[in-house]
Amino acid sequence: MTGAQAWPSLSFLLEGFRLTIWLTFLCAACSLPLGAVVGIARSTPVLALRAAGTAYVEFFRNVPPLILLFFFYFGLPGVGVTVEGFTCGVIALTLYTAAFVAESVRAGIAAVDRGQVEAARSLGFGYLGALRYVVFPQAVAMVLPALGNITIGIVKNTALVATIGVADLMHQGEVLESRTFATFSTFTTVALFYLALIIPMSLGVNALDRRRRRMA
Amino acid sequence: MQSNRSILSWGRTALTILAAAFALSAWQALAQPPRPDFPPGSYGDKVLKRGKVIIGVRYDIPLYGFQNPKTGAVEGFEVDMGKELARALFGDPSKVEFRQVVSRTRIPMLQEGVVDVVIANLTQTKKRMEEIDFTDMYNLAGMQALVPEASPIKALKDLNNATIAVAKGGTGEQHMRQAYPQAKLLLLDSHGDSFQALVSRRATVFVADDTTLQGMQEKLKGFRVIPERLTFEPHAMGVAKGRPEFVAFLNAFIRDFKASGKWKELYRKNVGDPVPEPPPGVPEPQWLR
Amino acid sequence: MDFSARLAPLLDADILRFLAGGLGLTLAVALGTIVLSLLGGTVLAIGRLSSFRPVSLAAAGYIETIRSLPSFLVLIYVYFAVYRAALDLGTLGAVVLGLTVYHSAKTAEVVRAGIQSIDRGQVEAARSLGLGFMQTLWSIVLPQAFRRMLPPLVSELILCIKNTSIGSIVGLNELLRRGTIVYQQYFNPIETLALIALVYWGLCFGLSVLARRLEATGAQQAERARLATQEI
Repeated sequence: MTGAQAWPSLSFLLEGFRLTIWLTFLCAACSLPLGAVVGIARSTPVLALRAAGTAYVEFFRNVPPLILLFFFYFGLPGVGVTVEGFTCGVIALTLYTAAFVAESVRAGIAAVDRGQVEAARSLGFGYLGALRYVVFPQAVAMVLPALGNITIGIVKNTALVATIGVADLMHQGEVLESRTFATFSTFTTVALFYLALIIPMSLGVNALDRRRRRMA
Repeated sequence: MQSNRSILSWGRTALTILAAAFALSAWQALAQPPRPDFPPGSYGDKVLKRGKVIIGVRYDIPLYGFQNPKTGAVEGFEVDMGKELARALFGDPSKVEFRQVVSRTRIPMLQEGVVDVVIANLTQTKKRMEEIDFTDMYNLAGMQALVPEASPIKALKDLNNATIAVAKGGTGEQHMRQAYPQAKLLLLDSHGDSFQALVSRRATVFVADDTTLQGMQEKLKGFRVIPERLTFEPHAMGVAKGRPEFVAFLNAFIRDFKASGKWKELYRKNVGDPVPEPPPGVPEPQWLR
Repeated sequence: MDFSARLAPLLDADILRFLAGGLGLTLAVALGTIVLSLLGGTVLAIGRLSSFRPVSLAAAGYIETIRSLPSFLVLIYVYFAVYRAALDLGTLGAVVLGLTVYHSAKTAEVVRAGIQSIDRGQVEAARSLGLGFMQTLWSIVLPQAFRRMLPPLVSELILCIKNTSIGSIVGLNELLRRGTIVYQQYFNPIETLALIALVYWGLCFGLSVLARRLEATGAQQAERARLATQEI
């Protein structure tokens, strides 16, 4: 591609890149709280909550995200429910990602020293209070690197929404490639966009991980 | 004078007989199935030595090339054409292997040689001619728009306000972008997915070749085709570049296929009546985009 | 269309056989990929641990780059590269190669962690007994490391099975693609996709139970290590 041709293509890919970032942000914003709730549910002494949480995690972790996307986009209309492509992407990826967040949160909570919980209870904190002020903050601090990795996973999974017609970076790349036949320059540029987004995130996660190890 | 006239009349008779004989032999030659004589070492020769021809076909376009989930077998007009090609090459229609192609893989699979030829609703375009070679046209399709029965869209000019579902990687997407820049495009991976988008009301129009629409319309009532064609789509077989003797053989095969009545027979079998006349081999210049 | 008409095709033996064929292909691709990725990942891990700077940098570069890309993109890229390079692999081979390129990078980290988890003392003892670097690796380190790597490798296999569904986009006739062919013929998307989802779930859940059983020893450590490098 000559320089003159490259610029309109670059802005075409940039539109997709913006959508990828927006989609990632929404999924992270939704899956972190949802996953935290499920993770806490798995850690409670209440059997019903634990069972529900376990069922959620064991189901969504073991289904390919592409199937979930297809289910919402192509499946639901079969019973008359038609949800727009972008929204399908958010819902499917949130449900999928939250399962992994829940696992991390659960492990984080389990890793907090029992002694701290008992100390908090003896100081008069109720169960929820102990959870909120003592356990949860420490748990989150411990699993922050894992959560960072999960967010990186969200970015990678957003590429799948190209299959349901959402105009993200991958989708724009495919369309550009079919128009220009410039397969390698197009997909290399797309790769560079993803790297520009993910590598800084990885460096951030590594830094968090080093800090966590120093604190532990 | 009498002798002159008789010489003339004899001459005329002789000429008529000669002309008739010439016409007859020419007709015979044209009606003769092509003989697979390939120079040794050429691609055609390689196919003959292999003992079967590998053809890339669609597995998702009903009536033309699709896989029947009940039998696992591939069926359709283009599939049957492929079997006839095997018959022309080897005398046996079973000496063929079909491999699935999708829009984005048609050209790469050819360029490398994973398939010998592609018979997959492939439209001949100038840009594609830079990448691969095309045979004679074997079907003149046209792009059409499918809308729900009750749709307010009646003519092509209404498309500018529509949400159009079309498959990625085909000629449809490019044309719609150029011809209807105000329309919103919903681009999905296959014709099947795009049709589902129309069915689930995500899009108000589905654009594809009329060959694709024929099959999809059959299965679900409640849709109608806008009769006016958006474009002409000359469907031809695709072959990788550098195999002129193979292309020449395929052209001879296609000519014979049309002339012998096989074209109409297989069209009736797969697509049904009314059966149009087979198209000419060379597309009109305005059909080639 | 009423419910029974939509459900009927999924109870049909022929169609179930058709879908089962797709499942077989999915498994074949996933297993092939994991085996090849183990080889590739081991090579990469050894390269990463090498004291020869250019090699360790190249390996690290490969690993970090591929791990930072969507598997979808890597698959498409390798798919087209295979055809431009004129390698006669067919769709199946191209998908396996593409997934191997992706999973080798992930497996390399698993192998590296496994190798590094072997007590340095053993390596030093081996070296003092006169064993060379490669010999130590081959007879002392790797056998023990592989046993420890089994749980994360099974996790990687689960991820790989999920990634094979992406092969449907380039025309690989695996489980998801066959499911798509079925629901586009019979207009029962939700029923078919639910069935497909259930099959994948059964497969991945079964393997995850296996992974957990293998992880029975050293559970706490393994858990913490796994969560730190959690990939989804």
